[in-house]
Amino acid sequence: MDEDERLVRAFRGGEESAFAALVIKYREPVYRFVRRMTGNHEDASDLTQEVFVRAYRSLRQFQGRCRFKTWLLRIATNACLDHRARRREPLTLEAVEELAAPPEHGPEVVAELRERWQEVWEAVQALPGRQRAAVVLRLYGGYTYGEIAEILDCSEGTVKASVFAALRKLRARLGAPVKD
Amino acid sequence: MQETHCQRYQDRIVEAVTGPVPAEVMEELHAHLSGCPRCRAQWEAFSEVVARLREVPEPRVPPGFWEELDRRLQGATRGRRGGWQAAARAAGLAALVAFGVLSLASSPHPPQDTQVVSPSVQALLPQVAELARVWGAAMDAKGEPR
Ligand SMILES: [Zn+2]
Repeated sequence: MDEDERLVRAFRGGEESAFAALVIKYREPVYRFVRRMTGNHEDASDLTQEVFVRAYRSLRQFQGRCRFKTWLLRIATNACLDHRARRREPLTLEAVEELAAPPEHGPEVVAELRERWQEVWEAVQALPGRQRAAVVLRLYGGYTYGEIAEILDCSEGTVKASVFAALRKLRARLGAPVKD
Repeated sequence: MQETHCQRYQDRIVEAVTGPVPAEVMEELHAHLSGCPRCRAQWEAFSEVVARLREVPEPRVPPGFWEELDRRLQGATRGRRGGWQAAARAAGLAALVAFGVLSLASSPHPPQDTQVVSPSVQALLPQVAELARVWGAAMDAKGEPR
């Protein structure tokens, strides 16, 4: 039994602090994922809360058929897909300002970098929900296709198709020519 | 014929440029790429897009957000066995105690909150303990975050 399984078991046995430990352990990956999915902190903060509240309420029904982290990311994905974003506009410039630019660069280079990042953020935001989830999990989370299939509750073949379709769209949008 | 043969590698090219792939898949792909300029061009084009996507740095967690999340979760999960906050705080305090940060001399009786965390749960926290310690210290520094 790994650490998460022990914590889940302890929580189910009535130990509330075990859930606190799970929050501390996974709040950052959950936040980063929903932030990449929504593109802004406001929505990401609401969704992070929602994910842990949903987890808290349903942890007693968690069957342990997959790892806790996979289960939690599935909740996060569903929360993002359910979410009717209050802010549909793409990432604002102020939000791009938040991203740390390498300190060794001058202001012109930084401005140029931020413009490039903005383009990327907008392109990712424009993807359909499940394709966006697959790409974010793969590229920024480093998950295998098998893990993503578990998180998205679909086959590996569907994950392959989603990531492929998403990459083609991103490639078309971000300027690289599509010739095939 | 070649068309169909190459299509088989399209998914694998995307898989390989976006993250970890099983070694045998990578080997087979490399073998094909070395003899197929068309797929090599695909590989390069997709690699370029992935490099652009990865250029964007990780979004920062705004300062104070974890404390805010803690308060919000407290509100949302209130009512069960003393609520989340007491337990969360206890997890931090328990870690502080475990790390010997709280001086026994200045505190002959450990804070009441630590009683919420059983020694058995404390023992489950090796990886979490450091995070909990930092978190607990931040909460202590700011006083009761209510
Ligand atoms: Zn080929």
